[in-house]
Amino acid sequence: MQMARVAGTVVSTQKDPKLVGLKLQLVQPLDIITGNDSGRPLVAVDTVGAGIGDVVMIVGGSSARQTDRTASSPVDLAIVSIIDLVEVDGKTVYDRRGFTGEGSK
Amino acid sequence: MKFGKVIGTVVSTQKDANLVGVTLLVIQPLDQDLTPKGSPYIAADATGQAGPGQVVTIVFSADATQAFPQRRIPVDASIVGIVDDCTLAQLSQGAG
Amino acid sequence: MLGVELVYLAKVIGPVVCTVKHPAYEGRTLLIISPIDDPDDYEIAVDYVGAGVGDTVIAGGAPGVAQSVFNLDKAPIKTLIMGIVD
Repeated sequence: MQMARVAGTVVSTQKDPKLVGLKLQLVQPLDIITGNDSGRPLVAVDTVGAGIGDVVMIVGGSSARQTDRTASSPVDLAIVSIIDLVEVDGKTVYDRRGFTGEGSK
Repeated sequence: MKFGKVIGTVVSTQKDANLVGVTLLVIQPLDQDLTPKGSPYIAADATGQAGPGQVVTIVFSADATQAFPQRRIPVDASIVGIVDDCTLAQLSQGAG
Repeated sequence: MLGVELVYLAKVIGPVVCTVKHPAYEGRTLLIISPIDDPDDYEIAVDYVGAGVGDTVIAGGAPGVAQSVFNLDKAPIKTLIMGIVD
């Protein structure tokens, strides 16, 4: 799975029937260690109610269809969790409450 | 399966119902001689015993969903083994 | 639906022992293999034929193969070693 930031919302009315009712978000993948943008933005189905600016975990491929909402829908990327805290090598690299980066520990 | 080193942890309270109780760990991917190679990613721990510093074996995509008893689980990388110390010693001496 | 590679030739480069493992791996031998076509890559595979280090083997897998071979409901196993090349 990858870490990503919700960067925007995608609205579409004309779509596959199995996508109706699913919320689409634009996510920017992040480097877990530095928190910097890593790669191009992607469109993901949101299964947890994430908002713009939230740091989330995204799951790709057939695994993206392994949620109750996306089962049998034509999706290959899903937001499956909102991340609260990431620790790497004993240091907090992301904290949803606002403390991030080197100065936090 | 590939090797990876557990380098961190991810905490999340708001998540897919089938992920409740599943430990999420940050993994540095490793080469066959245990050299770091590639960017870190998040894996779900199916052994329930992996932790920072350990070298583990990981399966991906559809195989990763097979590592958990849940009928559906949205994971694309799962830890299925913790590598023992003898193997580590052999590999880091350049058996690859 | 199937993976990119189904069956390929590989060289066995070493054993792997895990202290803790998923129940589907209980009693099985793990070997590191390296594809003949791509020696820089590797895969940790479950041995099904008694291969050893240095052997050239036939390896591969596809969704559902490990489940049927080992008769398991769930098997988080990607690659099997299914033959030794003479």
